[in-house]
Amino acid sequence: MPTWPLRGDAPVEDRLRPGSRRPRAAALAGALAEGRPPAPAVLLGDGPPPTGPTVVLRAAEAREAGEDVWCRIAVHDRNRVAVEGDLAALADLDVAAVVVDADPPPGRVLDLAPIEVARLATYAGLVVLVAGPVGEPERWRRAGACGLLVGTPDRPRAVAL
Amino acid sequence: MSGVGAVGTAACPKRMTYGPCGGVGADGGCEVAPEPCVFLPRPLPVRWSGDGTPLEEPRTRAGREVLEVMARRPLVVSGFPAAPMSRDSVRACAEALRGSTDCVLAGDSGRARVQFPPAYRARLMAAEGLRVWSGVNCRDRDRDALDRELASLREVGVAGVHCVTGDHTGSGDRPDATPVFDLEATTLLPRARRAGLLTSFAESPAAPPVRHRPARVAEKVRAGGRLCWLQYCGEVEDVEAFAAATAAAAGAPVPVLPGVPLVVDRAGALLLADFAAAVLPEGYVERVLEARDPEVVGVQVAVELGTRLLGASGVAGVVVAGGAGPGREVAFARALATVTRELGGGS
Ligand code: SF4
Repeated sequence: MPTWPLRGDAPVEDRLRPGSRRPRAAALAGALAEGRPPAPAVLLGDGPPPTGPTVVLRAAEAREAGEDVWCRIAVHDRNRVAVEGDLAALADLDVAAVVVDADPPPGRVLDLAPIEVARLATYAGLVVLVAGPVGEPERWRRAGACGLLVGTPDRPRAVAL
Repeated sequence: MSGVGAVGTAACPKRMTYGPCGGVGADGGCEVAPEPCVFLPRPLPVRWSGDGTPLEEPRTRAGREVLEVMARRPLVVSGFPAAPMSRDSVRACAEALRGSTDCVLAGDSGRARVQFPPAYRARLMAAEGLRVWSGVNCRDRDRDALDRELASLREVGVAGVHCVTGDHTGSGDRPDATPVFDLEATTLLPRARRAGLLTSFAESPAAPPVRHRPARVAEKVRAGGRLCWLQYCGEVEDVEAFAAATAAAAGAPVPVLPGVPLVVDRAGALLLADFAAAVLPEGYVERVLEARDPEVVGVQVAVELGTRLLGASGVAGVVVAGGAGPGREVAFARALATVTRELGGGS
């Protein structure tokens, strides 16, 4: 399988409807900015194929149950049209954060580099946490990322970037 | 009819094996590249090479309900004109359509490629009391992502999925997106069936090579397709002839659902003009646009055409769809509801 292309900081074309932060995302951004511990959240991702389900459906169910949700967003198996649709749905659900892998697994589709996903997510009103090796934090900050994902999968935590 | 097994077709811009797609131009040109469609010189149809694993019956209640409706009368499906990525628009359009149609197709749009993902969109619609038929294309996701969407659509309880290869990213409002096409309609169908979903697929009777289109339908049925939704292909007699030809090719009747275009304004007429290989009955759009009240006449001609199609031999139902200008989504949903109700939908 091919691996991710290295891309620069060229701005992505932001065509998603710009979103303002909704309550859960705003609360997380505030906590990170002020150095307070964020509210506990569940960390969700796509289920394994073929039985899934998608992270967006899992997030919808968890939000309905009243949970704060952080969602790991996949980019290696879909193009930017699908990624943008996922981000719009997650913003609609008021998930507290999306988690972008700095070094995602290789995949069949190499449409958006992780830093571009961060920019789009920020544009959609979402709080971005970065997972994995953040080589150049300033680049991620410029893309709008607010925090780093730390902790364990079942006890995720976030710290300011 | 002669045919060949599946062969690699690297030159097809949609990476299709089971082509040709419905976008072949009247002159045999590719819908994407400035060249002839690569399938036209080949022996057709391309035979489905699947393993013949028994395909499952639908496991959603809505899917079984649709089959029950079809056992007693033709199915009446409507499009869903809600503005993209708007929960409020979903709610308002659902309210307009609820109770007037048997199920509602949430499909793709060249003017708004980015939509909520299929299962999430279906969940919002189902929560508003609609029986949902979800469009799933192979342009934006690979097989793993598609399998997850299919599993999620089953969890949401959709009535069925409309499996399409999809338009190339070169058309529509997101030409910068990478075209994925890891699967195509024919290879998506068995996956949807294995996920426990009722399936439909599209065919364009008027697209070249016209004489091979019925056999292509037969191959899609062998792959797992249940209902064949037709692109607009002319007069009622053309639909009847195509239904008869598909039955002959498949060795049994294939439930064919022709499209009924609803045009209520110039924006909708322009949208229709963008559809590849769409052929409308003589004077259909002109009659609407020249009317003093296009909305009233648009509904009237759609009901007339739909009624005639529902009485045609080999027709198992109709799909009423179209579009209107931005901001007119709810008004258009109301017009759709009027047409589908008149045709017996929701009863
Ligand atoms: S017309 Fe369709 S099937 Fe034929 S080469 Fe072009 S994309 Fe492929």
